[in-house]
Amino acid sequence: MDKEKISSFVDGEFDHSQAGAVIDALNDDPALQATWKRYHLIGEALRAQDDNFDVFGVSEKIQVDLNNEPTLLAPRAKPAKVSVPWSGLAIAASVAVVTVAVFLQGGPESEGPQNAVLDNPPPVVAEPAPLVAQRSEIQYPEQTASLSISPNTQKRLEGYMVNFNERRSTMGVRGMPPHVRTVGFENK
Amino acid sequence: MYRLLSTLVVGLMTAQLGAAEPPAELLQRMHDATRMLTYDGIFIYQRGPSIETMRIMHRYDSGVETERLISLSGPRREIIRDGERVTCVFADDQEVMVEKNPSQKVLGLEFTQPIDKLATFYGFSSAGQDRIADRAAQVVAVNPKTPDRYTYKIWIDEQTGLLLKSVIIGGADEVLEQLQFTQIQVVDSMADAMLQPEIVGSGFTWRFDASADETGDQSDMGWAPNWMPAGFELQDENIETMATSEMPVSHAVYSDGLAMVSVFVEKLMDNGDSMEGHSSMGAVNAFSRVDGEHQITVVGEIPLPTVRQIAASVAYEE
Repeated sequence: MDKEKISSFVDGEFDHSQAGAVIDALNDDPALQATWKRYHLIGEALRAQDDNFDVFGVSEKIQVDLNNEPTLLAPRAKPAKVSVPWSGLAIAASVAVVTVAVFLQGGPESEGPQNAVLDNPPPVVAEPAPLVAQRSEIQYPEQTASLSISPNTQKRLEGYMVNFNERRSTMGVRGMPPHVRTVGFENK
Repeated sequence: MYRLLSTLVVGLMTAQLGAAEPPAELLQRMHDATRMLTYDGIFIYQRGPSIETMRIMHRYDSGVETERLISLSGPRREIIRDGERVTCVFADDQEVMVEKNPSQKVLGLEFTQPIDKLATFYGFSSAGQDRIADRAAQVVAVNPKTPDRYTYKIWIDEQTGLLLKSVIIGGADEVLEQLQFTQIQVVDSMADAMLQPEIVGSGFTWRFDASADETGDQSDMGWAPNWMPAGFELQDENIETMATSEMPVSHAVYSDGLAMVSVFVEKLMDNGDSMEGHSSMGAVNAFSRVDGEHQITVVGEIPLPTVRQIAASVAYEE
């Protein structure tokens, strides 16, 4: 697989019948992956100059949605150093599906029938070591501060969701085709 | 040979007509039919105030499942699963994401996971008959025996065994998400062209996930939950390089045969953000916390308190 093909691939100018071969080559060859990353970063930088391309893959529309949402997850106080991830998640727009809820002890989610699990915790499978017992007593914040989640953090969570849905699609009895959750984000 | 087997399976599936079929057998038939039949259908998916229409094209040929899911409302989006990879195409973002399909590792599970095992943790009952997409359906209620998982109500095509409608119900009888076909047909074969993405154009950004065990970095193996709801067993565990994380991620998968839980652990970068708290996506909940230098996130198709409890129990063991 030569670099010219990779370049064509990054630019979207390639024979689709060869897509499988290109993907396999990229998956198998770290050097080609490095080349791909480099070309991709160059492309993103050029696009960013041309039309203010969003290097984080979060469309403006979705970013507005995010800004209007209550806080999803509260990042720690450590300020976000925003780097340019070469592999920012393609489905960044699915952030809109992540329904936000007030969280943690004392919040609304601790009320209602679901709380039965916490009120009557099922028996621990293994005898808990002291360290584990200590961990289970972790004190979470009482309420969510009104902070905006950083793009990097948001993408990481999205990546987890996508990977979860992929595994779900291959495991157990499916009461719901898992990928509908990925496709069917809320449109506002 | 596979085609012959497939034909036999279809024959068996379609032969089992009748209203007296026990719920557990219906579920087993649905489990097999959704994977081993070739079909094309349109359905409505509802989660909270959001309602979307989608089309699913599913082919089973020579032992390989290929599936294409496309949005018919809102932004144009497609997800194509085949034996090797999952390709997500998002026209609204002009992006394509390709990830290796992990199903090869767990392929055996999906056909051998006995419905009988589910009966230990869920009660099955018949909830009558109905008509969905102009097809006669048997309704099966799947009720958990403990409050740490969800209730499912599933409409199953009497003739083909396919899922026609599904509702996932949380505490206080809250409908978390539901899906209902408006039309569906089983076909003998499906052309390759029907399973190819249509909305990819020049200018799309392609992103790849160098997946599963390729990093060779096993340093974060050893993180595991010390508590799981009864019946959830470890199904798969590996270190993955995700498109969205700069560090390799330890990913362990647990299932009781119906619900599934993922436990993700990754080392935090010096300049990385951490996250603590929860989020939800329909019936899927996620809870994140930080343990020293590691980010722990549990994602599961189970109630939030259960997800939280699992996340709190995750610890590193030498």
